[in-house]
Amino acid sequence: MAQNERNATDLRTAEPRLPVYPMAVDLYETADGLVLMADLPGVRRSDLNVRLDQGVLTLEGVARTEPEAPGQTPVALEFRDALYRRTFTVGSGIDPSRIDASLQHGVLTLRLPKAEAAKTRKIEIRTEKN
Amino acid sequence: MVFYRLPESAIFRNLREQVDQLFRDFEGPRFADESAGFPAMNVHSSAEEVVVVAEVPGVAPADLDLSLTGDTLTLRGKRNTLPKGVEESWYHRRERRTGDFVRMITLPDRVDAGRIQAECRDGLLVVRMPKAPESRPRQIPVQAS
Repeated sequence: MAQNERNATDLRTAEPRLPVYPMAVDLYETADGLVLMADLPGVRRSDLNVRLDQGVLTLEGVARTEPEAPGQTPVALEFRDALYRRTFTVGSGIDPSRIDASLQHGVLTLRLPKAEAAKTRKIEIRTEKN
Repeated sequence: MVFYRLPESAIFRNLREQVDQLFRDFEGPRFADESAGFPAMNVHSSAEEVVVVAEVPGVAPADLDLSLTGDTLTLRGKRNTLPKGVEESWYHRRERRTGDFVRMITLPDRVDAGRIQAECRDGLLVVRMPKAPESRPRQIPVQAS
């Protein structure tokens, strides 16, 4: 736990004033691996960290939601700038070298392929011939 | 009575942040206030324009429908959260909202409907609406009698 906390503080150190929130995620499992979708509205690619370390997956992103227009004052706010962070234990069954991550329309899609050893294997049953 | 706020020492700031974090952890995974509806919206205003920012992660610009009637802004859309090659029944966890949505908000000022600009970036819809001439601040000269 202490190890994870230390590794997960890159963006936290860079943005100490932002509140930290977990993001909403969907997680699916296919025959080949896990598919994780994370809502990250306002997070640019350069402000996103994805890390897998000792079976712990850490997602971190800084959401910047202010409009780039001069002289604006807030009238009504339902969200604000934040640091999204969440960690997941994925264990040793994931092949870390083949993880695929893409960010589109503020959604991170992570494809985590299962390591060969963790895949479901069909076992053929022999019949004894007398 | 006057209260003075003393500078916070690092140790108390750290403790306060940890307690704040504890309460946020109870609140669950959604950080935006969606009690008024999805998507969550922020409204900003300047002397020149009204700007509305909506959180629409995973919605392609083509799936958004934005309209203005009087001073009511309506945003409709459809959100499909299922990734390619995945069946709905294969989920372990589903926290993201899915399906059709509609949200209406009343703008704080009259805007010029002909000059509205809307664009998507990083899952945010940013709508910039120049104020109508009658809604802009007007300087009123004060005269001595």
